[in-house]
Amino acid sequence: MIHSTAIVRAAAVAGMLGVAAMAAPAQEMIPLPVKLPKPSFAGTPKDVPPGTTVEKPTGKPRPIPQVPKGTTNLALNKKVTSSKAPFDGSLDLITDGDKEARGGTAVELKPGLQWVQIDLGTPSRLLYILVWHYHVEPVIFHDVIVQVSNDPNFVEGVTTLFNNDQDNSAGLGIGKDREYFETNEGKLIDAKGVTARYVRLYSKGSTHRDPLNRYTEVEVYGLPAR
Amino acid sequence: MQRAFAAATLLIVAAALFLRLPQLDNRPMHGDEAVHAAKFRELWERGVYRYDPNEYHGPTLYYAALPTVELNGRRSFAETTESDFRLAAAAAGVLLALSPVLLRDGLGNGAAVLAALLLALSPACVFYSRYYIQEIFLTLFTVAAIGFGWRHAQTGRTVWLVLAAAAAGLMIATKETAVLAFAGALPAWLAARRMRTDGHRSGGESASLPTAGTEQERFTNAQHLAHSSPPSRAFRALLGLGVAVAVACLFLSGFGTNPAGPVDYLRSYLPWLGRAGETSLHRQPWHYYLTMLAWTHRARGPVWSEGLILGLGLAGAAAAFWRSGALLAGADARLARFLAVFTGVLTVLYSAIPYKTPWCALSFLAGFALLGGIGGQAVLAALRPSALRAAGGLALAAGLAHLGWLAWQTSFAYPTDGRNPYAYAQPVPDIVALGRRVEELSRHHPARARMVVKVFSADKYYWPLPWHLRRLENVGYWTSVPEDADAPVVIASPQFDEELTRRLDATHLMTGYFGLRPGVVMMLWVRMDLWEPFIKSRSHAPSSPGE
Repeated sequence: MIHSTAIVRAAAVAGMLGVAAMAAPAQEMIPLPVKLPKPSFAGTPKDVPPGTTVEKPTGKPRPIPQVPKGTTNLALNKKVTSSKAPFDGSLDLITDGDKEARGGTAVELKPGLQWVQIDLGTPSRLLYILVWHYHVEPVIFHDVIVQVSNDPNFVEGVTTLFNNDQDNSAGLGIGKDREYFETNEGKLIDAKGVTARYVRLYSKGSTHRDPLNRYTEVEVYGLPAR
Repeated sequence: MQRAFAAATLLIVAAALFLRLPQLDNRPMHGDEAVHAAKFRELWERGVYRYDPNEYHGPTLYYAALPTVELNGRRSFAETTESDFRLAAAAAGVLLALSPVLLRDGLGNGAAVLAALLLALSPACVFYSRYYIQEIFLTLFTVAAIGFGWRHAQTGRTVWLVLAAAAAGLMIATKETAVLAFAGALPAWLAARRMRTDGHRSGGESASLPTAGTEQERFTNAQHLAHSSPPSRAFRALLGLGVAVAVACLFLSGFGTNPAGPVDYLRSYLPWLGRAGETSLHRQPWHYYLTMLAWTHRARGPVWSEGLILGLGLAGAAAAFWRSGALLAGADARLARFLAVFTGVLTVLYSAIPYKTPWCALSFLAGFALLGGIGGQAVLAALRPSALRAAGGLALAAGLAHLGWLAWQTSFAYPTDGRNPYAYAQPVPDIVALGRRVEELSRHHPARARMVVKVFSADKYYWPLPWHLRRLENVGYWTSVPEDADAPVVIASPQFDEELTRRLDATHLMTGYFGLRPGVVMMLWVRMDLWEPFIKSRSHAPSSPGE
């Protein structure tokens, strides 16, 4: 008896919620408003194999995800800090909107594990993060880890959105994501709608000719806080 | 004056050491360095050197590293480090910076100090003094041969002749391109010889070396040498030739361990002549060296320029030929003319050869530096009034400081960077991480250093990988995937990925990519029974961002 009452109550609640949902206007969806930079090398990177831990390049343009209308790049012209002062260039380059593979568009950070951190100003609902480290050449950056938090020190409430440090050499936990070759498409990371104010990105050198860490641009797509 | 010169020399040595000794391991071994280290190993472990007419040049490089490796207490090749080898080159670089002392009474005190400073601070000289290849040795022996030859010409003493000839022999035993320096020295000698033996020293500062006797003695000796009898000249020529050939043969034969070495050396010119004109990756336009030295600016890096050395060198050359040396401020006109013709011919010869690598510029750049000493002194002496001369002195000091700053940038801030014009075909720093990773993996394997590592490279250009895997005893190299591809650790070109996925995927994990050279990466496959304990040990690895 008690059991059947509970079922009836649950059905009633579900019905009410369904009606409410039908009554609310459906959220309009749009393609992610990304403008890709020009490719600096033709086709897929040379020597890119179907690796077991490195992402397979599809050879086709990446599908553009749908996002709610009103989604914008929240990181544009926002303040950026870093683990150490840059080796060359300014941190502003990371959020200045210029993501072309030209000389002078990327900031260079010193060798070893380094991070950059973007302060979005207010906690916002984040949908996608798009990262271009350095797409002048097809290189692989090591230990790419992307975290978000409302704590500027990243001590509490840290959510890891991406981690390809499969051997835990950065010491932030073993990552399950794959390494990837840099291209003009950048690396698109699903932020899963998490709400956060700060975005922190780690890296630890690359297969490039110097041991520096580089960032051309980071875009953080989400819905501005009201 | 003597004290001031000695103090200046000490300061120059200190500057040369400061730029050459620190962080000798801050750049992964270049492929050529790694190959030379392997050749050194043969000499060190087996006591045998065998000259190869097709590759590797001469053996002085290997003999030069014997004391540095021994002094650092290395007992096996696995224990050696980059610094052990580069220390030998650094020592040669410091001696090169000191070499103008031999020419002091020909250049003048000020010019000798300036030339030494230019050699000590030149970014190219500094960079290749930290590089285990032949070029810095060839340049040192070339300048030493000139210096000793000059001393003999000034004093007539046989010991200087023997030393000059020995230096020439070492040039031959260092690199086949020594022949270019000899080709430059012949017209230079003829040009200097044409000048009258009297009145060859310009007015102005007069220098003296205690060992060289007084000015009058040197003049008398020079007169004596110029008018010596034919048998005496023939004897000296034979003695010089004999010593040079003997020294060259001694090294090329591995001190008698391979008597065929000297003959093979002569045979080597056939492949090298072919290489000089080859249309390969190293083919460059005639102005490659000059534009590289004068002005290189890539991306957002510093502007690299050794224009100060080139400019002062040109001024020195102009002074050497201007109205019988009227502009030479205390320098000997014959020496100035010798250096001008020698440097000019050498520059033309190196520029004319299509095959070019940046380190080859050292040979004639050193000539520019010696001439630069003369040129700087001449320019300062020509400036009137004294206030203008003081301003010129300040500008020169600023130029030298900039040169030193650039040398620092070249060797410490941008040692592997593509913006650095001297970092040529440089393996990427990631290769060091690959070597460390494989060593780390071996510590989790029961066989330890005897763990089997298989390298499948799509081509034979896998150097300097053997250097970075030198601590492992069972490393094999293939240019295709062999029938038995299984091993605890497999390093492979990406071209073999599909095949390896098919054959190893059940037992191995492709753990990631590591850079080898710009644009070239290698995959690291690790057997799961090794990867699992390894990764377990790293679960709590410390992290220190910013380190």
